[in-house]
Amino acid sequence: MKHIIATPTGTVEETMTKEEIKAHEEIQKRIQTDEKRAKIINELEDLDRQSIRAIRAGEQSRLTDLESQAVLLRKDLKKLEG
Amino acid sequence: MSQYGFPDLESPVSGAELINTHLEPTFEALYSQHGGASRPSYAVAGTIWRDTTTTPWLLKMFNGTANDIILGDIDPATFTFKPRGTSQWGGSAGGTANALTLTPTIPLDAYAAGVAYECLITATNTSETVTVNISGKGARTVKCSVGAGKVNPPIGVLQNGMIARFVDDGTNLILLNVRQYNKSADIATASTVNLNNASGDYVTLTGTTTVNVITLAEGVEKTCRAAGAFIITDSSGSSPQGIILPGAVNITTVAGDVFVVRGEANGTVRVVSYQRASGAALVASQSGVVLLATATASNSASISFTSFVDNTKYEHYFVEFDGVYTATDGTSLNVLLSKNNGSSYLSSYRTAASNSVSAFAIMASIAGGAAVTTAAGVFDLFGQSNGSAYAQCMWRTQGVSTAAGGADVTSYEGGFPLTSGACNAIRFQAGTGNITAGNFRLYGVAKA
Repeated sequence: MKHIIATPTGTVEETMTKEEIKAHEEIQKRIQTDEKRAKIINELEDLDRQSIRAIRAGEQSRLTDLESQAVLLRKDLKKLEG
Repeated sequence: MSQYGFPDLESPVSGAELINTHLEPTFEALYSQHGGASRPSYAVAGTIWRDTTTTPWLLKMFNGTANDIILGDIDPATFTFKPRGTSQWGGSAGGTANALTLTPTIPLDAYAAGVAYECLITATNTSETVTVNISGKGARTVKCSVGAGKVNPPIGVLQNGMIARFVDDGTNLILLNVRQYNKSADIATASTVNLNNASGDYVTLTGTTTVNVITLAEGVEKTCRAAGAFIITDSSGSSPQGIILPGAVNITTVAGDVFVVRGEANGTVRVVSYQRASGAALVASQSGVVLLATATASNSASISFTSFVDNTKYEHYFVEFDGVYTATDGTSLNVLLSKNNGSSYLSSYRTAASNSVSAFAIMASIAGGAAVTTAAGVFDLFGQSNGSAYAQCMWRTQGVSTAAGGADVTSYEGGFPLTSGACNAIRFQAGTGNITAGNFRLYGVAKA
C-alpha cells in the first residue's frame, strides 16, 4: 500500500509502514461509520418529509408505517453512535 | 673530430700549398657547418656554427661580442631538429604536487619570455602556490591568466595524468590549458564537504548527511548533483559567511537537483544557481497565487501535502483537484488535517451538517473506476498564522455518483477541526479503498 507525500521541494511515493497502514485503516473505519450515519440521517430526513405529506393527506396507516421505519433507523443510529 | 678553420687567404701561397692548407680547410669548414667543440676563431656577428660538445648537437649563432644564441638542437641519431625559443617537452613532472621539477631532454639554458613548456602532470596540486623548476634553473611560480590579471592556480587545476602547457612571461610560468569540464569521483555528504578534493568540475554528492560547510578555493567553480535528499545549511548570516544560499534559507535537496558553487574569500562559498530536478522554482514567487506542490494519484492510499506552511508569505492555501476517481464506487472523498506536519491526523471535525465527524467528507459519493465520471473541486485552508485559532476550511466540489444512478454530486460546505491551533498538513483519502487517479495541486495565496 502506497501513499504520496508532496512538499514544495518535491513529491515522493512511499510504501506505507505497518503502523501507517493501521492508522489509515482506523481512519477509514471511522469515516465509514460517518458515511453510514450520514446515510441514516438522510433517510430520517426523508421520512420526516414523507410523514408531513402523509399527515396533510390524512393517510394514517402510511404515517404509522413511516414512523415504524423511523424507529428502526433511530435504533441503528443509536447503535452507530455507541 | 678536429674543427676546421678558415686560413688567411691573403698569405702569399700558391699551388698545392694553397689547396692543401688554405682552400681545403675552408671548404671543409663550410661543409661541416663549422662543427666543433668551440666557436670558430674566425666567427663574426651572425656566424652560425655547430657545437658538437654534446649529442644532440647545438646549432648556435655568434652575437659578435662574447655569446652564442642557441638556435636549436640537432639529433643525428633520431634525425630530428628542435628549434629553441618555441616549446619544449619536459617529460613527466617530478618533484612534488606543488613544487614540480622538469628535466627536458634538451636542458634549459636560461628562462626566457615566450618559451613554452609541456609536461605530463603526475600529481594533482593541493595548494594554490605551485612552482616549476626546469633543468634546475630555479623555481618559477605558476599563474593563470584571467582577464588582465595573473592569479594563482586553483587547487586541483593540475590533475594527475593531464598534459599541462606553460608559457614563460618573463617572470612566471602561465598555465595555458586550465582544466575544465571533467566529472569528478562521487563525494559523500558530510558536515563538511571539501569540493577542493573533487577530481573534476561535475560532482555527484551522495548520502543524506546535512552539509554545514563547503570548502572551495576562492574563485573556483564546481557543479554538483544531488543523488538523494540532504539539507544544505545556509550560513549567510554568520561572520564570516559560510554557505550563501539563494533566499538565505536552508535547502533540502531532491535526487537530481543540480547546483553551481563558487568559492569566495575567507572560506565563504556561494551557490550561484540551483536547479530543481522537477523544474520548480527554488524560491517561489511572493506575489499572487503560487503553485507550491503537486501530486498525482495512482492507486494511492492517500495524497498528503506537508511542509508548505509559510506564515511570512501566505495566509490562505488551497488544493485544486480534478480527474479524481476511486477504486470503490460510491465511497466518500475526505480531507484530514494535521498539526504535526503529517505525523498524525486530527480525528474530529465539525461541519455544517454534523457536529462531529472523523474527516471532512468533501464529496459524499464519488464515482469509482471510471475516468469519465471524475470529480473536481477546491479545498481551502485559512488562518494558519494564528497559532491558537481553529483552522478554517471550505470546499466546493462536483462529481457524478454512479452508485446513485448518475446523480450530480455537488457540495458547497465548510468546517473546522475540533482541535484548535494551526494546521500544517492536508491529506486526501477515500472512505473505502484507494484513490485510483487524480491530479492535486497545492497553491498559496501570497499576502502581498
